[in-house]
Amino acid sequence: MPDALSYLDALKYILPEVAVTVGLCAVLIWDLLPGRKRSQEGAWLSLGFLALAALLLIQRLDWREATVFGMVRVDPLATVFKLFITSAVGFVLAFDLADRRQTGEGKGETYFLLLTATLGSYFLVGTNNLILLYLGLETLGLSSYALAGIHKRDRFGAEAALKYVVYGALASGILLYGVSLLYGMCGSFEMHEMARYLVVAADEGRSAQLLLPTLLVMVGFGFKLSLFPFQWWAPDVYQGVSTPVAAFLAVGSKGVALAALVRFIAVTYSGLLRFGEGTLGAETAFTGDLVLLLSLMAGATMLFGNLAALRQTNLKRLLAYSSIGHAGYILMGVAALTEQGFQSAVAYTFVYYMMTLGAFGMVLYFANQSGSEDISGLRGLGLKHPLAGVATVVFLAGLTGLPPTAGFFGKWYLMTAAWSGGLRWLALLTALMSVVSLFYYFRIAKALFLTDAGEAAPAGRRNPVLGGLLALLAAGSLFFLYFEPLLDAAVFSVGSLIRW
Amino acid sequence: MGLSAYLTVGALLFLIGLVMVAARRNLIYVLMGLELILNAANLNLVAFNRFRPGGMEGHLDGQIGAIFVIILAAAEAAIALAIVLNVHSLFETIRPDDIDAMKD
Repeated sequence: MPDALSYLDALKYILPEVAVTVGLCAVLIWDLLPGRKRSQEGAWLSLGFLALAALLLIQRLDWREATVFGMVRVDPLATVFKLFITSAVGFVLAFDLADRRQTGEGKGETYFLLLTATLGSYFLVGTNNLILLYLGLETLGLSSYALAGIHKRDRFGAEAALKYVVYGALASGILLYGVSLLYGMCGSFEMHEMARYLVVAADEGRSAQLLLPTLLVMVGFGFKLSLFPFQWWAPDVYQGVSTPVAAFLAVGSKGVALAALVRFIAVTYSGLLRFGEGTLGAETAFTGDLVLLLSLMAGATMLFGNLAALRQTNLKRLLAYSSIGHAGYILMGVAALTEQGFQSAVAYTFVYYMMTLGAFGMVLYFANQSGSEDISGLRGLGLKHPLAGVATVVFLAGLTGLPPTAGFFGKWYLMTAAWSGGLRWLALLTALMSVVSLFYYFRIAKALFLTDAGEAAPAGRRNPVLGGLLALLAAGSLFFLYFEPLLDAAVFSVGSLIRW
Repeated sequence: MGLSAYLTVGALLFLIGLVMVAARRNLIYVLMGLELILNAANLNLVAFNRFRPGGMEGHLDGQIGAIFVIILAAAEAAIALAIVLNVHSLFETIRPDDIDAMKD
């Protein structure tokens, strides 16, 4: 379709993407230049370009929706989640800089791959076109597979990368097959055009055809979000990769996948959903099936994640199961298929970002002190490192959902949305699972503060940079929902999706 | 030949690919299965575009989408093979069931 925008006008909409692209080329070339360099410089270079992209994105927060180059969609949801991934990668780079157990191997490539993943995420969240969505998903995925296997002589890392690439490629292949079926039904990759066709199909009573493609597409999203029954890779991969990369997979890659899922469901099926006035809403039998599918997945995911976490001793494995459980909570908001549900899912994703990044930062901090990533390695360290210890307690309270943290309010919104969307059993299950999660989160706090360190306790140096980052994230976990501009942007962004 | 012939071949390719991945006999086998799945989707895209109601004049999105997917499949194969090569040199096997160093 012809676009009213001229090429140069269109270019200014994708300046953040341009900044990241230039940045990743610069990092790659910098790494190839001859001469002795310290690995840190690449990280600072990447951080600089990410900051530039973030500045450009902040300028674009209040821009009206536009589609440029026929495929790239610039709207509030896209911009908010581009900021989300940019800042998440920023934190991951900072974690990497603060990590004292540097091996020096593959550093330049790590920074390059993190920026590639950022670029892929930009396209994943910023498009209404299913082919570009697939391309974004794969750019993010391929960078993540390579990131997982970057340490060549590490057996765990190699195994993690292998499991990740096989399951990931399978899931995205199945998603693509589902997209091809949707394309055959609707004759277009554009979500808005699909929505128009699907309304017609539903009026003719043919919406049952939609079930198979929807199921196939959900396999792809389910893998990225580690939803049951596509979660098997997550614990092995998180344990096998370095802690900053695990944080990126748990937070960045999951957050943008959630944004893409919300956009896919809210736009493609907008004719079949039950939104308020101003939308196309009309309930059909397909709507009921979709709610059932999503809510069963959400319920099974939180059950599995929380129950399996109970018997873990490795911190990263425990956090992997915990992040599976949280993916279940977030999907519960989507499953309600209401505007309130989407909003609470997006808001909780931001809270989850603070708490989970913090929790992985905590693992990094204490692993630097004790050299161990097991819960037993934490013994007594909380008293020696009060700042990190207190921050950890905040993250754990937030992940459990205890008041007064943002985790409590975020979960409360999700449960209210599910309750009013008719998914009462799911809201009750969430409350029950929060109680279960108290047991395993408390084990970490207990190891930190209530266990005697014994004689062999290492007297590690403080790590002020990492401590500061943890304090920042802890403040976010406590007060994030009071920080209205960002939350408004998240809530507003969903509204722009479903009114058109 | 009509659309349904192409779709049948596509569905068969998809199923063969799934079985090859699920059988987990050999990692190269698994990667071939993954490629078959992508090609099944590609065949669908191209066929749906060719038999589009109203003709394909001015609507080539399916064909172009398929080209994108071919490029991605190449990139994916490159990364997957690199990872398999590294696994092979560390574990000295490419049977998926033998590669299990991490336990619950």
